[in-house]
Amino acid sequence: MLFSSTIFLFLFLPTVLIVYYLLPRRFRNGWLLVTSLFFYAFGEPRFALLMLLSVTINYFFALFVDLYRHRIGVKWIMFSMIVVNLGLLGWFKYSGFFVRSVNETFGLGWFVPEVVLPLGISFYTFHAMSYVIDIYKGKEAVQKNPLDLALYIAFFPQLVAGPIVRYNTIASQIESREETVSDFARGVRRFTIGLAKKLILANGCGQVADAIFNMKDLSMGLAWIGIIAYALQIYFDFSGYSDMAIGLALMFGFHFLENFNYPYISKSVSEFWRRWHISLGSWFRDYVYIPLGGNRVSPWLQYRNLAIVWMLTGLWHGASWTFVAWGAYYGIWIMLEKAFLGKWLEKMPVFSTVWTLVLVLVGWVFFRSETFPEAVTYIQAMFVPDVIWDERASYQLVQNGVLLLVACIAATPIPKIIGERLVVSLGRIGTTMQYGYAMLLLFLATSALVASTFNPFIYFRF
Amino acid sequence: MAQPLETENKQGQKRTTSFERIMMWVTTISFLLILLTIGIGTIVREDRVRSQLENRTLAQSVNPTIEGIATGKDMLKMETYFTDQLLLRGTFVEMQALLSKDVFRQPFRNGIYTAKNGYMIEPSASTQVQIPNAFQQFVQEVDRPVYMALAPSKTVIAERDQLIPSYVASNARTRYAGMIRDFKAAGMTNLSLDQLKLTDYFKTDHHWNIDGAASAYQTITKGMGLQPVTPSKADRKEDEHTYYGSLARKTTLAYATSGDQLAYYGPAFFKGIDVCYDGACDRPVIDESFVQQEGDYVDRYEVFLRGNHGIMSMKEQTKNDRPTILVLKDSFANPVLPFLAKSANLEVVDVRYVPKSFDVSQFAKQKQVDSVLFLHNSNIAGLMKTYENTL
Repeated sequence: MLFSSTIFLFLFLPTVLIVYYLLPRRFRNGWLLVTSLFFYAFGEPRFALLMLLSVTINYFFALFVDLYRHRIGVKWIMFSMIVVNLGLLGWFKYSGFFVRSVNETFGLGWFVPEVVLPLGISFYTFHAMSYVIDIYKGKEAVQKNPLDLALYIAFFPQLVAGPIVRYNTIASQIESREETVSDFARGVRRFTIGLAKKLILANGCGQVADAIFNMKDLSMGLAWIGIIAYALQIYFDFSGYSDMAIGLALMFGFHFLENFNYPYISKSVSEFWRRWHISLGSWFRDYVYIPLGGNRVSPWLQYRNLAIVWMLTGLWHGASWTFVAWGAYYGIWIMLEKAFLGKWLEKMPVFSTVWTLVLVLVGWVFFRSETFPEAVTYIQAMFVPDVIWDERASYQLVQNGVLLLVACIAATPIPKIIGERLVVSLGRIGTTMQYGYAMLLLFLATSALVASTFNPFIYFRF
Repeated sequence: MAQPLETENKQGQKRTTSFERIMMWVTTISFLLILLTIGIGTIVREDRVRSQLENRTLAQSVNPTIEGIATGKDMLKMETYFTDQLLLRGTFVEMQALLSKDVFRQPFRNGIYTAKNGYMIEPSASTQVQIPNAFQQFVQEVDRPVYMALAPSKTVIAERDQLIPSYVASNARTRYAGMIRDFKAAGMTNLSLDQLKLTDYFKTDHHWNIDGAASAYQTITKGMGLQPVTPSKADRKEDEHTYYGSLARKTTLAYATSGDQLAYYGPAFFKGIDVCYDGACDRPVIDESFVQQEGDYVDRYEVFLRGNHGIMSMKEQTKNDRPTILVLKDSFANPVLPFLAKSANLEVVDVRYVPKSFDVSQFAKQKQVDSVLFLHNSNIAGLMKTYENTL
């Protein structure tokens, strides 16, 4: 089930909320677990068992880690935990990609498994691993109640699209939390903002990007419109889902950490990744980069560590060499910034923002393209085009210019700053607007959702 | 989109006033009420079978099976069903169209452009389609005069009148000219309908109006050597309702700056014409129930012959000395056929609605027709495969 679906919005969510608040406190976690499993099983029931298997395995790994933490064998338990988790993720997400790559490289004809990717497996695998690692590091007490652990991993707001919530962030909230009307109302606002981001801005920009990426012989103008639209689509899509997750969690009294912080105003690639998908970046930093030695090793080892982290970051996003290249691309720029570029950029704030934005846009070309030649052709159109501007670019600008402009402004802190000032200066009217616009966004987002299924039958075309 | 707005004091703690607390309660209750009202309203309301706006059958409730649930297919069907039946569905669709038009200032909606004069046009830059050899073979096999009256689509006229913005690629005129050339080469006699003007078409529908149809009728009878009839002004009627046609349905009323008034010639003028289809005769030539229905999106064009039928005959019983014409048509022909039936006996075939095994040549011989008329609009590239199979 998706947050941006009518069944979720008008059946699942109100039912879960109302029953949740009618139940005595001791049954609420159980209710959230049951409904989370239903949420996950709604589209792909068979994979719910896989998720429960992951929960069970990691529950026992954590118990063993806790039990044997002072013995040498604990490292083997941790090793097994990593192998099992990455093995499951690897089989479902990467086996086809791996065998295809081997076949292409060595000219072999090995059987390529056609494995269906279970929804959210990348997220819940990382949730589960972070839990066991946190227990191993002594950051949190082991969770003895398997149902509470299952709730941590399967909690529906963060199950299929993140953010990657660390166990130590919500461990105490699972045990005990206070639901307030303030949190609920803020959750509603945050959820409707996310819904509108996804359904109005992300989907609108996505239509532009899809149309342009499917065209041939792009002019320079068209290529730039296409990649800007895609950059906006992916930002509003992902940050919209994160907003919805954070808002939904708030309605149940959970407080998640932020996952995005206006990444497109960054002044360096390193800063971009501190603002983009923050939970993933910090996961790789804490569970891969720092264990490899982080910044406390020699410069060459630091660069090696960065290379490993960024290749893995790329691969986490998808089983394709273009994703690996995308990760490596960022790794290289971060290494250069670490070596010397970062200091130069600090001296030129405006240039550094534009520079970073261009680098990020080029990165998105690799992310969006299915093959390297496709990406190279697109980048050629952006920088060394045969044609500067054409009618197709004019059409996209006339048809979608305002949408893209609104989306560009919405991707900056400007609306937030203006909104905060209005709330303060307008007093009660400002407060009314502050909460009232959430309802307006709910209607507009629902309209966009329903309109996306609008399917007029025009009787052939004659 | 803004992040949530907060008023925070210096310590970062939220300062909640009593008024803000009231607003929090209002937000919480409104949110739940809206979700519940739409959710429960959708469930308890009787399911709708058909959407007038979308002109299609809506998804109906699902009887889940174990296999369907296990594969997730039933859940998908349930999602489609719930969304199709959603309370206020039409309102939400119209609201989204308003947002696109008035906030995002998008001149096109679902591929439709509304020109300043209110005409809705669907620009198209499709590939030129070659007409199949079957047409030439048919002309030889049927051994009767074969005429082609190919109405320019509204897009052709709009291109000619430069109503489509210069930045939009559209090649309807080129494709139209190519098609005429190909049909002539196949041995057909072209009955040119180039005289048609934009005002001969509905603003919000892709069809021609009664004036366009009447003009085409005059051209056809003249080209085929038939005796035309001229209706009097007294026979002309105009539907009181505003007609929003197929293009308005595709964009919703937000983009239809003005509607149409559907005119037609009343049943009295066509009295005596016996219309037979689906194994029954005495069918109405003009069915005024379609102009009497209420609703913005009623398909009022069905007033002519109740729409399309696979095989139909139209004869005036008292006039047996007239030629018999086989008409191969699309929906553009529907307002023309009643007039044409005053000039000849008609055997009408709409190849979209006949079985795949249907043989048009055989049918022409069996009905001993004197001539054949193809009466279409120029947007028939998608029909070529069907004609290849049936001619």
